[in-house]
Amino acid sequence: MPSKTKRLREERRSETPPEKGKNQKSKAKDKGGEKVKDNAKDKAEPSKIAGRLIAIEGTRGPDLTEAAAEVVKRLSKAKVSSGASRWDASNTFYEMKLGKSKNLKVSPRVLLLLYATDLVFRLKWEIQPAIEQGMTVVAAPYVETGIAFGRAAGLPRKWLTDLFSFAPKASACYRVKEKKKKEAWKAKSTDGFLEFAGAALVASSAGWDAAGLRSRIIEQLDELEAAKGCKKLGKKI
Amino acid sequence: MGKKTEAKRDESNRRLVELVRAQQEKRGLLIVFEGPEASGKTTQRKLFKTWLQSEGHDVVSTSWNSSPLINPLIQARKMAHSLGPEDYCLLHAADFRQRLELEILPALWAGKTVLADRYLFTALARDAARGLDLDWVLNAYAPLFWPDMVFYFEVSGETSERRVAAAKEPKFYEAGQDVTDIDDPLESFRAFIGRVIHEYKALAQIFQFVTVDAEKSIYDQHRAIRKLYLAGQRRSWEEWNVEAVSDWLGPNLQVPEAHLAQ
Repeated sequence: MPSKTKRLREERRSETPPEKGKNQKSKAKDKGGEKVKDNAKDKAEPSKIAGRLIAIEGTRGPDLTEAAAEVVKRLSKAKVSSGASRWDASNTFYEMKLGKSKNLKVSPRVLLLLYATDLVFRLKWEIQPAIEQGMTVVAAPYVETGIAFGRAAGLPRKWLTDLFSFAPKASACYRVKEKKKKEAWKAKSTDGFLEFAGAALVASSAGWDAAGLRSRIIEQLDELEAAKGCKKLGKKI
Repeated sequence: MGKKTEAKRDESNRRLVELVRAQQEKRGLLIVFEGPEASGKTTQRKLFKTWLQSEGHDVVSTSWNSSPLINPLIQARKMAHSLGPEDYCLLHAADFRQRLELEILPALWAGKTVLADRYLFTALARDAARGLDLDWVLNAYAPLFWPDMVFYFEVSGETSERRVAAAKEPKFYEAGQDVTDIDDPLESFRAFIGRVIHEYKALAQIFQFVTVDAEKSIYDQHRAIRKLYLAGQRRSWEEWNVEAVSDWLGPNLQVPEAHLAQ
């Protein structure tokens, strides 16, 4: 019941000090004399970030991989130390595929919770350490691909933006050119998150149509581009 | 929003409310057993299940962190001690959502009584104790699906620690060693369980848990639970759970029989 959770939040706020990190209290408070580590110290604070984070979004995994490699190559030519962070660095989705296929019945929310889990891993082990060393990291895909998928699957925007609120905003966001807009994904489901999610949803319920889903994701990315939330990947970075 | 889309949405909402209303008396009850480690939840859940079955109820149980899809991922990462508070929270939220959609809701819709050995309140208490912002954790579990009754097994931190220590050494995450930085598991558990109980107490007030004194004998607790259950009331899904049911049925309000057939 919304009123109850609202009351809970208000009560919690009254006993919680001002927040430092986005999703973590400024300090895990010592309520009963216990020592608890400050999780917020692990979070990247934008003002201290030495490097840059470039997000590349799109619907096809192979295109994202190719675009990330191309951007890293261009940055290297310009003597900018850089690297790429790709989907499923944590092997979460790979391990799911190893399990019994009868268990692979999933909803969009479950897929996005797992996508966010993978993103937490990428931020912690790939993106933030590299940025702290002054490198430029190309994250392909990043947050907007997840949000576009969720919107296309009918999930509320607020739930999606709150879910990904742990992820720092990228300094620049680009989208790859979409090939064969009207078709679904022809590649393997392990090629990218959206290929995986499309295949898993279609296998889970007859109500999902992969071509329709992809076309709605593209519409979401078009809207993002129109609102200047990202721009087409061109020759200039 | 266009007029056509708006009309379609209104029609869909009307159908949803009708579906939920029609199911209200036919559906099963969701009863949750919550409490700190070693508070006796599982013992009481089993006794209660046997009693309900003897009374002619069709009963199923669901345990925390038990989805066949997500649980192996969690176990592997727990063994490697590789989870931080945020991915710990997200993976458990995925496990919970998966069980809600594939086990709990289909069983309730089919008229079965579901006994949940821990529910999302476990996550709220533990994740808040790990220092995560409660708003963010609540969002990961949204839309919330409200149970009919929550039995909270109240024990002191000392009792919980004593019972845990008598049986085994607490595991790394159970002891909260990922956030306490304390090497000794039992010492870490002592520090962490105090925080978890503190969070549970706040939740118990807000979510109106039915408190069971878990320091009492097993038989006394069981008798109290039976009495409280008989005095309890069925929560109105129309008032509390429409959003979660709508999310489960999907945009086409797919008939639940399709879920049950799986």
